Amino acid sequence: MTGWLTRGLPSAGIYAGPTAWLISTQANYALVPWVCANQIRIIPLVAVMMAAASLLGGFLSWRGYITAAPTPHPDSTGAGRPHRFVALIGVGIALLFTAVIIIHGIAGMVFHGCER
Amino acid sequence: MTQTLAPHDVALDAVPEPTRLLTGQPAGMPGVQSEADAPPDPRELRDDQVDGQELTARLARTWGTRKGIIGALSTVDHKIIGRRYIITAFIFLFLGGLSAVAMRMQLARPESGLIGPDLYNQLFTMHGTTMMFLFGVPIGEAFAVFLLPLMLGTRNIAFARLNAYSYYVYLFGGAMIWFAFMLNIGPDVGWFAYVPLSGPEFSPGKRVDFWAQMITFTEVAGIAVAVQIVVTVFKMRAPGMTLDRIPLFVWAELVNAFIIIFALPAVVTASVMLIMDRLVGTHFFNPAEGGDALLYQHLFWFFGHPEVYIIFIPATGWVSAIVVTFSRRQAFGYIPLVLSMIATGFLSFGLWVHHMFTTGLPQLGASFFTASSMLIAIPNGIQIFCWIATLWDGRPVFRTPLLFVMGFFFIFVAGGLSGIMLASVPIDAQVHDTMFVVAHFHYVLIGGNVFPLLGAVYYWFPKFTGRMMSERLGKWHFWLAFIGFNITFFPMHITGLMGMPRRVYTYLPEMGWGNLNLISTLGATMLFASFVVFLVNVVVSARRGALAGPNPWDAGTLEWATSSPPLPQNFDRIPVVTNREPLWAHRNTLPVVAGLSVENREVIISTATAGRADLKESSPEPSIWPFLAAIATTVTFIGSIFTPWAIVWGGLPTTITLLGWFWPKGVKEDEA
Amino acid sequence: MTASPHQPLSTRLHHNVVLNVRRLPSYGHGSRSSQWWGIMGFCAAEGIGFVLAFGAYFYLVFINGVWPLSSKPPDIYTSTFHTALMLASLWPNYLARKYSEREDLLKVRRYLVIMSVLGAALLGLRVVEIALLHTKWDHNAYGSIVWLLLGFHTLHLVTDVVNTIVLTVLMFTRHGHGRRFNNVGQNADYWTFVVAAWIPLYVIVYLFPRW
Repeated sequence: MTGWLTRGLPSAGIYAGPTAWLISTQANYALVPWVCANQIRIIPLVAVMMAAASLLGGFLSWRGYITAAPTPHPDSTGAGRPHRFVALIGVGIALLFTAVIIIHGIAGMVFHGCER
Repeated sequence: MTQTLAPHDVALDAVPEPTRLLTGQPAGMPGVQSEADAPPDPRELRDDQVDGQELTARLARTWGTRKGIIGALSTVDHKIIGRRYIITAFIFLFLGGLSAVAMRMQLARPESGLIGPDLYNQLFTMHGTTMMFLFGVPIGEAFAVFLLPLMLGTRNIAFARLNAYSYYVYLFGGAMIWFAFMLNIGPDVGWFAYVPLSGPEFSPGKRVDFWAQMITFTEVAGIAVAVQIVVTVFKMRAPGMTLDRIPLFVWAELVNAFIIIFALPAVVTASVMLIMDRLVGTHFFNPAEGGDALLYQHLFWFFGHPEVYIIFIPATGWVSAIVVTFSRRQAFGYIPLVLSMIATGFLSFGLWVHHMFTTGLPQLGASFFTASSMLIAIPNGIQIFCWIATLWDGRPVFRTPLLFVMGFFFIFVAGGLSGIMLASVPIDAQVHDTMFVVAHFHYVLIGGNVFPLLGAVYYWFPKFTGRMMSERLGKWHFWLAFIGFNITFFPMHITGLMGMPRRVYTYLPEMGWGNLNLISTLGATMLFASFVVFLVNVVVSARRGALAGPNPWDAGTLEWATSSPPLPQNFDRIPVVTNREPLWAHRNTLPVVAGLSVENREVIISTATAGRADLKESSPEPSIWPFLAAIATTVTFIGSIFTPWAIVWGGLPTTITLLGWFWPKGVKEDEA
Repeated sequence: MTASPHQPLSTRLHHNVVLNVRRLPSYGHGSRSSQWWGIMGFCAAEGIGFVLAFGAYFYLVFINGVWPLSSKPPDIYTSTFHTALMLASLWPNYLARKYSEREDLLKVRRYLVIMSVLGAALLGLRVVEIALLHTKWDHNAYGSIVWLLLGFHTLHLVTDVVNTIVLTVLMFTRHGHGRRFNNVGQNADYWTFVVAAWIPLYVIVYLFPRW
């Protein structure tokens, strides 16, 4: 487990970010009637958990980038190292989707859930 | 940046050692003697034994299409099918455009009697349906079918027979709905066919059934081509083309294919439920029996919003290709561009509820979709900035393709701004179903798809036909289209804010919308004229244009390494890729692979990430069966409009044709 | 624009052969082959179809509150037997795939025959099962969605059973060697998908209305 954490997984962010966002969107959307009925602001909590999941994916991608082999050398366009490329994309995707998820959480702080 | 290649950079583009280009793994499990590992038949001629003209001629014979009508219908050449696909999609674009011109004529003045309400309803339905399903989705795939194997350095698309089948199914589905329209049974319920209007109670007759079945046709074809694209990109790249050397256009088509695979099943589900409600008495959308009309909207828009990106994402590929070539430098921000495409692809699935803001959903629920709708502007913005940076840092050459890209920047950004306005619930509630929305999405769709598409036609026309299009006519075309478009659609923002609703066949003079509508119609005439110029340019250039040669634009991607138009085999030998812009890195000699068969259709299958050559699989021979299977499918689908039993008795001929398709015939296929 | 559009037509890049692929295998098993990726692509599209149909089912549950509306829940015994048989079929299916990768023709034939018989039996059971649904598609929205789910899955079942039978026949002809083993593996993968789609369907259609 720790070895996995240090070595990382280049593509983790590409799956984790969107999956967390998908769960955040669907779960929060389904929770709205419940939030309205019980007046418990659970949506920011869901959002924080999902943002953490997304960031974990981003972290694994970043580790994957750091620990990737320094060879082969990139060509004159900077290409030729697909694992590093996938890792960078993973970090970027995870960060972007974390931002979207956090905004979902903020919406849960602004609305009560009963507004029509 | 080819012009600044320093000596040490050249070393970077050297061909890596063969271990990096080959996996060298046997096919058999440990201890198992697999037939796949048998040494090649020494009698079979391979391309390391012949060279030059003889190699070219022999390969052209092996990969060629037979003459005659049977040969033409049996072809599996991606270039022939791709060309047909592109032409067919353009014919539908013109038909959709003509129906729009007819509507503009009707709206030019208040209380016009040119077109009655029933025909008008059919016209706007056919216009939307054609543009979205028969032009928007297929045109991106059509370009992919023609260009992807060339850009990836292979000889055909994956599952070439399925490719032929998909094209025929698409053609027959599109032809069916237009014939229905000519027989006055065209759909008249809008391109989305909302229930209850489209349900059995309010739309008796067969009009909506034709619409629903057209969906089935085009989506079957669309998903099949998307799978072919994914497999071609992942498994058929030339050795050395690692994931980060894939051309941006190919990335765009790959992301697009994934969106199609995940979005199209939703609209098929919706249309199947609709046609079952209408024909066999199910109650999916009937509230009296526990159904719900909003279920249809949810399913439809789960497809419908990604559809916008299915239309837009291929255009980002066209723009990227054109910007890079005409800036004379590699793309600024390759990674952010790819990242944006992927992120947009994912986010497009989280926006659909924003089409339903006026259906009384809870505001908190809607706000999640507002959030994603707003933030999708980030990846789209990143793309625009990367393209501008590429142009800024390069030495842009303003030929017609780049002009159309400039037009795209202007129009698409304007459409994006009105899109941000519409993402906010209060504004959306105010202008929902008005001409403002019509203006917005035409800015996005025409700006985001048609302008880059026209640029792409000017750009790749030399590759398609071997001849250049006229620059002079091209400039006329661009300015007529750009000015005509803005005159047509800009006033619609204002008519919309003045309260003019969509989908009305006429209006009263005292509403005060007459002048603006007349201006829009004049603009539409100009836009129409621009397409006439385009058509003339295409037809004349295809016959008498200047000869192009393999690489008229001095571009860097692999499709320009072969002759224009390419021979059936695409490449005499498969290239080895050492750079993102292979032709800029290797200006005189192309590193290539040898050892493939000259007598049989062999393609290299490579690994998904590192692009190492792994297998040499065989690629399908031409066959008439896909065409026959498409006919059987068509008979089944059209028959099912009239009796559900058609599914049962149409199943038999379909199965037989599929058997004919897949059953191995000659020794050729069996051996490989 | 440095290059003029008037390059001589015969301009051909000189070839520098750097790699020879003469000795590459002519097919590979599992994810090495291109067809495996194609099958996965279609599984993804059809899987989304199932997910959306499940979503529609729960949407209707949510809208109505009472479920299964005015109908009786479907018969559970046949369907449980059907499910058990489906799960059991995964074993010979796995073996067919395994021996196809070893290119062991006799064993592949044996397990393909077993899979064909099992598939036909499952189809027969499916007919009984549909007869015991206690609702019709035109009864109410519950009946409609249940018939849609079962119909959609039965379509997959029929497709794969027909495919298995054709493949079984093929392996008894002179074509039964080489690349055909590859097709056996892919057919087995598709069958796994058909079973995987059935499990949630069984839970939703047969267990959920009884809760």
